[in-house]
Amino acid sequence: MDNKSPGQTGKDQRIETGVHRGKEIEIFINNHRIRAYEGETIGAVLTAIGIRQVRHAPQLKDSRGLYCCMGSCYGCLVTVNGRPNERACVTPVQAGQQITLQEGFGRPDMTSPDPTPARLVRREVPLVIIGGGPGGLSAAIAAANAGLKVLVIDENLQPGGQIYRQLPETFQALEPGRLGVDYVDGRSLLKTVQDLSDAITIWNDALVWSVFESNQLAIARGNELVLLDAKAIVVATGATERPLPVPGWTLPGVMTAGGAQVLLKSQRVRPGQRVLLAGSGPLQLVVANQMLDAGMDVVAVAESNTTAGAWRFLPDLMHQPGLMIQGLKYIYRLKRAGVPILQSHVLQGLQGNQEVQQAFLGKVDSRCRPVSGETKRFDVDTVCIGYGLIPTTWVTSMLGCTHFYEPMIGGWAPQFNENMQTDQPGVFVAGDGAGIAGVLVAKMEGTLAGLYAAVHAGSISEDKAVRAARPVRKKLAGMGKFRRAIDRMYRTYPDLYANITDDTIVCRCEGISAGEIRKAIRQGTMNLNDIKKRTRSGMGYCQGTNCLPTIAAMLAREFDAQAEEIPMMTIRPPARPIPLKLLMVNMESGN
Amino acid sequence: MHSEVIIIGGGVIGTACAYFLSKRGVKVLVLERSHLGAGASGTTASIVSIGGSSSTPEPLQPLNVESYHLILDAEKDFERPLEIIRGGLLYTAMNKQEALELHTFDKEIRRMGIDCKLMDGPEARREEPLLCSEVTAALLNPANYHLNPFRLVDGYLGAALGKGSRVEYGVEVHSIEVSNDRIDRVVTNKGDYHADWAVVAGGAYTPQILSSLSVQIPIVPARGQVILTEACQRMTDHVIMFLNHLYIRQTVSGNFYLGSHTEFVGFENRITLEKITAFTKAFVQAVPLLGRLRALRFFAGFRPICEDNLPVIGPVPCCPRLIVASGHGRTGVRFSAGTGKAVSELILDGETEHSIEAFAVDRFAGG
Repeated sequence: MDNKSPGQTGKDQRIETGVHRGKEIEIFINNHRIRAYEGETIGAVLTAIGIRQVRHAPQLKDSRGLYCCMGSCYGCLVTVNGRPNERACVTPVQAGQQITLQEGFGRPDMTSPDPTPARLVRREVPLVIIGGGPGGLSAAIAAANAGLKVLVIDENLQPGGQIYRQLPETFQALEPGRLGVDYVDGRSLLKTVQDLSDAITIWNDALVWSVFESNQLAIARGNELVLLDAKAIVVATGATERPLPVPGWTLPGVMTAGGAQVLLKSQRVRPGQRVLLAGSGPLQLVVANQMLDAGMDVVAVAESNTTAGAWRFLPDLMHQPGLMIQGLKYIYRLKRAGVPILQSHVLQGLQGNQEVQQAFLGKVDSRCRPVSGETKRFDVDTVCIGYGLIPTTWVTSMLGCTHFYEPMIGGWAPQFNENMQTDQPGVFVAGDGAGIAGVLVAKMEGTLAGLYAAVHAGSISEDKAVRAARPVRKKLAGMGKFRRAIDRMYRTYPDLYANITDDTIVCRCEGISAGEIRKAIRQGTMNLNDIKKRTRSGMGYCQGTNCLPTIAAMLAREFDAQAEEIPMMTIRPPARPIPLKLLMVNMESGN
Repeated sequence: MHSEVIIIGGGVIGTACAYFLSKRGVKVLVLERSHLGAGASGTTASIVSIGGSSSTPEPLQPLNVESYHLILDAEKDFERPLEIIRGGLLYTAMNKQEALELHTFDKEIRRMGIDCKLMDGPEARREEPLLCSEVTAALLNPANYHLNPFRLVDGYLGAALGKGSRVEYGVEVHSIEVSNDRIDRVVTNKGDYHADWAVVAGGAYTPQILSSLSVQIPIVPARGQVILTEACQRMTDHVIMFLNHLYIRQTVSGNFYLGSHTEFVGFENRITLEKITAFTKAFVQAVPLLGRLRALRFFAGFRPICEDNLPVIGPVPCCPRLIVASGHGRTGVRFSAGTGKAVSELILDGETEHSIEAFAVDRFAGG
């Protein structure tokens, strides 16, 4: 491991307005003394000082930088105090911390202090909620109000989920209003949860990594292996960003729209200076606005769909005038700042020497089929990819719920009834994990799931739930039309995947190219497990989150099949890698 | 549709049969109900070694030695390398009793003409610095390599396809009908298939495939649970083998593959916390470095184990053109080439170079 200079590039990318950071501390990156603030993540500090090539990995063909920024892609692995392969984006800094930028896979340092021995804990709770975003928290509130004790498990350092992601606890918001409407809404929801702290317990930084017999959940929580039995389970695991591989998308400086948002909203760091956003849907308008607020130069927003026929959806959109006006405000602000919004344009490729420097857009028709015409080139240092969201279904899969393919969102979602109950008794769902519908729907679904979970756990009568649910159902029905209009406007078409050239990396973890995958497909079957075994794609840290949706789409194209004909892949625990040390427990203990 | 030979099962045994038959000019049709290596061939450490009589029953020894070399030879015919690592098999004793057992192993392996090396604890740790200080002795068997099983299955089949053989996926064989020493038809979910010869290489599903012929073969599924760690820098080329049958190997990709016992629980392939916690404790105790790594994947598969721990290779009594090649237990990869070659000889020459009498289907009759 070399001692390269951390390559500080003049300007500090921290956004100085709006917040007071935590206490100033010192950390060491490749033995260089670096200033940081308590509450920052290692990834945010690297971004702030201009280090974008986080991990040099020859076996992956190029360097990797921050991509998802929320602990899901495992691209930004660094060695922290002798422990290799820690995710920079979700690991908080600590005074005196020694960070080494890794060459390839690290090597565990046996001279570093031994990890704390693991402990087995067995718990029984009436209701467990997996995921502390708007859906999960609303379920918790509804169930607590119905007299139930609730445990919320969330893998982030703080509750709120992606949309309500808060500032680190050590940061202080000077003008909360400047941090956006979601920040303010999130604060108020979290306040309600806090007021119910007698009934609601939240475990942060805790991961449900497996489900064993009788729906027993195995949870990794610090050095504790918790085995949890619950009468009812609400799964509110949210969504993952749809990966869209294009040549060069593994270059440092290329990240998901949500990832850029984490840096901006929660860590208050600019992901770069000159940015292009390419994707589909309202999220990228939001992010582009946040970037303007942060003083970034947004060179363009490329939207794969077109709003040319959007007047057709106007009556449906008018069901939610507030949301519609908010959207128009975002567009107006971009226009005023001179940011071109290029409709019917998709990302074709990215280039750069070590880091992204150019982005190329191509024109597509109304069904996302490429049309000939010139390619538009942009000089950038940052590119955000945001082609919509896919429900995170691995918990519902492990619980044995039936899933169906939802063509509008281009992904699988669990089946559920009007009470948000899946076909597994006692298992409820809410929010984007049950189908992509945004924060307002997530809250209403959460409330319904919480109420009916309380019925299932026996704390309220069905009649009472029916009465309490009535106003929520009414509002939810009103949202439906708006939501369906948005879904149709920003639909994901299979031809979105038409640009994947054979040399494009599809599996970021293992560095597997589209060409290798196509070859395996042509020699094999429509089964994702087959492609995985023969190419190693999906075998890495991210458990296939960032490649399997693409491979499924490629399979459908190669076999000329419908996406729903490609079965979901067999889920293997753990959901995310867990320390092996956690399993060194005595199974007879823990009571 | 008529084929010379139909092979039922796209695992390591079925594809090895396809490879050796194709090599001699036979065009085969492989029928696979799911995908390549979907069964036991996908849940194996793929350790290929020449072992002594404790690990390799006497009748299997010629097949073992032959297979060991044939797999290495076959790699030349494959499109992609097998990711072979030659690092020797390190039997590791954790107490005095086990150290004594290693002396027996040493004698047995030497009898095979292999120069193995017996070591005390400190020597063992010099040979393999990953081992903990509690190791009392070790035995290094140099006649050993390990490989990527998917590459092997893919390689066997790919070479066969290159010679004009074919494969069909999603074909589940329900039964096989025979009369007058002929194969009448192979009945599947995709209709009937016809062939001069049929080879049943269905792993743990072999008894099901043959049930309509009242051929009783005592092969049962034996679950094995496996832990795969995250990748790290190359740490060892050895296969570290413990006397309780657990083993550790590091793959070409850098991951540690940690396996496994056998459990007889039918076709149940879930992992259990009891086993993986017990395994982890044993592994980390012996190789403390593993306690610093993350588990990337837990999984389980079935190995087709026969009651007398010998494979079943040979024709069924009622039809000499219907051949069984299954029941290799935990050693399918290791014996794949020898088995494939024997089956090809049986079909083309009517006899095999090495005796397969001990593996005959009718050995169970009346037993």
